[in-house]
Amino acid sequence: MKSRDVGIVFRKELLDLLRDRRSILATIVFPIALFPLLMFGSSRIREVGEKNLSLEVLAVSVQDATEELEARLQADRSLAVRAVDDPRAALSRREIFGAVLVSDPIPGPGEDPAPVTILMDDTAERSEVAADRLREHVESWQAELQAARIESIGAAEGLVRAVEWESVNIASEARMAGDSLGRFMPLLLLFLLMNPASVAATDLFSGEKERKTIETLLTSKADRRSIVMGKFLTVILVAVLSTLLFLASSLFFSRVGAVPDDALMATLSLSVPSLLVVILVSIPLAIFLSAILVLVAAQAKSYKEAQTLLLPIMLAALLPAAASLLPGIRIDSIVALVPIANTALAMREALVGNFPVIPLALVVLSNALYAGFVLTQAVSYIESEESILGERPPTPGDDSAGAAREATLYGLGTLLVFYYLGVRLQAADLLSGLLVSLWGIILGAAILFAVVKKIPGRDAFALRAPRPLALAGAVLLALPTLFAAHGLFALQSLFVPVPEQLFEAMEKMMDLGNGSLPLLVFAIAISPGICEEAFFRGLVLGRYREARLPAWKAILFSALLFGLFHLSIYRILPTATMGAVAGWLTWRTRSIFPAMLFHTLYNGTLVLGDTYGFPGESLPSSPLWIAGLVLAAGLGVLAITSNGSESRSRG
Amino acid sequence: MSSMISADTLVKRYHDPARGDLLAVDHVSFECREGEIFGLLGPNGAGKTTTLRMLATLLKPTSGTAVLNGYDVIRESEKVRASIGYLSGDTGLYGRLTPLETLRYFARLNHFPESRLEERVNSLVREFEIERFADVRCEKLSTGMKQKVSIARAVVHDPAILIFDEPTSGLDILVADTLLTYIERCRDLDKCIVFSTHVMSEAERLCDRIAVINEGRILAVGSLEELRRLTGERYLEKIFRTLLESGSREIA
Amino acid sequence: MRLIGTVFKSELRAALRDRNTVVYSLVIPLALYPILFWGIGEWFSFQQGSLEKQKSRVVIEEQSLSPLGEAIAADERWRVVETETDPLAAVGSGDVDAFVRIEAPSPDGGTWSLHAWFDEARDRSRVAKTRLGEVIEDTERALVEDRLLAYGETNETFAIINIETENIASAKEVGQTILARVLPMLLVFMLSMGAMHPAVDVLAGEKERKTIETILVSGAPREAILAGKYLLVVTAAFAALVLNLIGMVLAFKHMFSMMGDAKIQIAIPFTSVLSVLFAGLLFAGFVSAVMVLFASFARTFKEGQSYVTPFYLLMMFPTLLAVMPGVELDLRTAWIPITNVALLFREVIAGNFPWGPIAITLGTLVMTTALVIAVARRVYADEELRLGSGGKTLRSLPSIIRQSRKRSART
Repeated sequence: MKSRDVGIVFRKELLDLLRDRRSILATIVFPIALFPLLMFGSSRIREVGEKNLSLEVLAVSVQDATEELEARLQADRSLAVRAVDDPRAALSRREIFGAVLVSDPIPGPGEDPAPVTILMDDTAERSEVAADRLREHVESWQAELQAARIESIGAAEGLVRAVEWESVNIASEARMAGDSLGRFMPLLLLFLLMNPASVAATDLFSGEKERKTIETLLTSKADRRSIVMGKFLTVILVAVLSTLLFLASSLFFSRVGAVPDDALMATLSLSVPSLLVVILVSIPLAIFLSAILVLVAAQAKSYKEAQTLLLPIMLAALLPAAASLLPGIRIDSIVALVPIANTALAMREALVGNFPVIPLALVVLSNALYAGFVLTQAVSYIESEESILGERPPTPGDDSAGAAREATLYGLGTLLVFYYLGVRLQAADLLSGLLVSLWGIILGAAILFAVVKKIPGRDAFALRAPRPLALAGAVLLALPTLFAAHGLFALQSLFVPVPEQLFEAMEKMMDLGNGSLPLLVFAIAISPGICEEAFFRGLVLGRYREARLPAWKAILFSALLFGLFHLSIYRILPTATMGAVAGWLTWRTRSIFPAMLFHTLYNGTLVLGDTYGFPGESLPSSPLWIAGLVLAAGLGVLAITSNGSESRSRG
Repeated sequence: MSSMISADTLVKRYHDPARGDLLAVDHVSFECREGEIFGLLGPNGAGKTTTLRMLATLLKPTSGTAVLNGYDVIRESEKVRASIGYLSGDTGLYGRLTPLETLRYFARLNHFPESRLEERVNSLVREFEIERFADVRCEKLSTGMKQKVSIARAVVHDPAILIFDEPTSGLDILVADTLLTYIERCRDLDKCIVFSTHVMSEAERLCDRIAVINEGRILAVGSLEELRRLTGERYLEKIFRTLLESGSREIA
Repeated sequence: MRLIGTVFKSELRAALRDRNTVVYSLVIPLALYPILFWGIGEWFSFQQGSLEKQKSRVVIEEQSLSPLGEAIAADERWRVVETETDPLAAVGSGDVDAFVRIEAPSPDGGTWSLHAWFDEARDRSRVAKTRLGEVIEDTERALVEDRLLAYGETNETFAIINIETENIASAKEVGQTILARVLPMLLVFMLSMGAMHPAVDVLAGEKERKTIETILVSGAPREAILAGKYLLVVTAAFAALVLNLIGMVLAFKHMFSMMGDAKIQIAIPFTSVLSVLFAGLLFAGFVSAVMVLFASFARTFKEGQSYVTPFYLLMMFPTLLAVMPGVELDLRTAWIPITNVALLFREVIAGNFPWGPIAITLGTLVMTTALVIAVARRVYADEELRLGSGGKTLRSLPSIIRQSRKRSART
């Protein structure tokens, strides 16, 4: 690589881009205009909304209200009190927006409290406002009634106020503003960074092929690496330029106060150190994302194709940045390693004025590492022959990879059906829903695939008689796997705390049989053992094997798919572990039955453990237990592997 | 006089799932000297483009190699590129650059000395009659104008070897003639020129020696006279057809 | 008419074989929404899990042990810590979530007073504030109970009235309202996005691929060709609307049924669906006409995109206007294009049918569509633009209209 050549390419590409209207819009105009436009727009919207709602005279009916309450409502000039016969009907006709109903007289001491009902209509915005105001009035009336009651028993007025508290917010208004700004700023920044970069990447890489200029460029003396780097630098430059322009424009407009009546803007003072940190963390990110976009754009032969490929990538990249929108997620040393999300959170911290040194350093460092990695990948891909001329000579194994992709897509499609249908069925009625999902959706989908593709059941589901030793191995492995998965779950919850909800959902599962143990065993152990194994280990793994996927890939992918079906990030790790063992069983023995037996025993142990207080809750702690489990696992593996080699020699 | 280009049993193999292995170029060898125009003559899909792309280091040979200007295309591809100019019929231009900018860009990329750069660019602009539109963006030029700029760009760094892959396909008659005249002038300047075409008249007018190529293999090499003697035919079209027919009978 | 049908059918076949079309119109609505909602749900529970588990760190300053201090110390959500430095600084640096100073009441049984400092720019500190409020409320109730005992009374004494809020809207109506707030904007965007790609492809892409000449010499009148292409774009836009409607409603239905909130039931009445589809079809006609008009100026796919994209972005403003609080479909807003359609969607999904504004909205929609189509016909009559030679750009639109008017005046 020669820096002179890099410079020549860089200067030309920059000049070329700067003459393109679309690039100018994306790189310069849009970043500068976005912040003031958004701020202006949002403050206008808020203003109009508030004005609309606060000046509105809300018609309110006071049905059977006592005089004191009615007088209060009459005194409020934002309310127009009106008498109607049927307040509910009037409310639904939008003639009024709220009503207070006091049906009983005010009770004396010792009597039951009187109900006071505030009527509202949740489908009307104004009704929500009206209900809030009515509640305020009723509460202040209630306080008055209570004060009278205190007096009547001869106590001091302050009796009911035992504690008085005052809270002080030590965060400055600027920091509070930074907090709310810091939530959406990362998303904007990420978009502004990727938008011009994708325009440039498309033009510089896909466009070169579409215009057929690539050959002349590549037959010039400049080496390929210099050419690629020159182009790369251009893409990175527009990404960084757009980011900097956006930040500069934000700083300028927030200082100048283009929107003087906006409280947020008035208090917001983007400090110089905050901005410096934002820039520091976003530049490696710009390089990282540019490299990804370039890598993708280089695969495309035309603008059109590039666009199709890039849009999903950009959307996917925006998702982790949404981490900054969520409360409660803070940057720590682990989150600092998650690409994109780390930068979003670091920016948020910086905008609030917090500078946690170690996580920030980790963010910069890990981003730089990711950037370097993708960059080298991208450079070496682009240097490769097939990418240069836009003609990809087909490589062997394409059609078999297609079969594997087909099986994965079918699995994901079934997941979608399961998500829409199965989960709803289970929500309606857990037991029948579960059975229908298993026997109907999952097993049904598996059989459907085999029928449509005309694969004989024996091949589709590995319906081959296993050797007794294989079954013994499956039995031996069930318990050790259960404890391993449990251990992983416990380990995982050290880092990712599990919400109570999940345990509750699992508890509910165990109450399924309405006390009937056979029913419970059938629903939770036998049915999944048959249906899920037929789908994941029979069909999916079988297709993978057909596609000549290496064993580890086939087992891993089918296990991950199996984990996804449990629709919970917390359960992916343990369920995928179980799925991987079942996958390995099937792969080695070429029969589905050991896996079915294994799965049934695995789930069955969970059921029995819950019913009879089996020590499934806690990890085995006694050395004897552990030794036993390790021994069982060892024997199990031995039983399976000896069997596997025999069956291979036969087949 | 030594040979500037020497292709030695070049092979390019592609894999195609439907048809199995495909030999795009099948053991092609030839030589080309300074001041010589060497023609590759063959129908579409004969392997002309793939051969020329291997010479231009755009593709790596599956086996065999070629030496250009004393440099090996596999091991010294950079030095090879410094010695060649490459032009194919469907090359495009950067729409938002002007002809002048385009020429300067490619001269610099090829490390043309900065001191002589303007002089060289200006002489090409005169030679190809680009003056009138030298400062207009390429996207606004007519097809003929673009073609002139394309040619000038391929030779802007004054390379010792010129590789033309069906350069006249799609050119209008006048521009094609300008190009062919220019190629003749290059021969007089002792350049080494490889030229692929399926237009017989061009081959007859220009080529010192012609290689007839079909299905990746060279069927015959020689001057027009030698080819006439070999086949007993007078017109190149006839020579070509005879060679293709005998080639399929495994004679050549 | 048959010619239009032929052009339409061949364009449709080509579109269905295009990976872009399939991805944008099918995969996004039917697969992306559930993934997105599932992701949001999981994030939410993840964050709940981590916030639940996190203890609030508090520094308490008090002269003697107070019932408040005791209650905080006994609560397992709190961890009482000591700082060597200034506790306020510790709150500011985020080492501590709250600093609480408790002052004892005067001996005659007055009020405990409590000062608390938080850094509300931090999530954990905000959580601490909520928790402190809960602790204080519980403690105060117990203290008041004790005091009332001295008078021989209980807390019941002060339960004079029970304030209840009754929502007259049914679970279905609440569900409709939620959909009515979210769907219109998405439907407008997705419908336009559905029209964008095909519009650019059938007009500009055709010139780029150089297939336009063959079609133009085929003998079919150009009007029929334009009509066939236009119909395809309308179909794509309408299909995007339908698929997105289905996808969104299903995904919402699923999400709310998962949350198990009985007060919300996601469903749209049949009449509303029909109305949305009818108005949506007219709107698809309008959007497609504008996009076809812009795209017909482009010679290449890229150029087409750079003409159409600004229109798409511009559409965001009137659409956003429609979701501003307090803006409703009335006799004024019904005249604002695009805004009125979004508002119409909203009213109709919510189950309201204000006929006057609806009539105005649909009327203006039909009129503007007819106008745009008329302009597009004139543009398509221009030879240079039809073939994609020549250098005419969007800027030449006025002159083209003028010329064609002259031409039609002559004949």
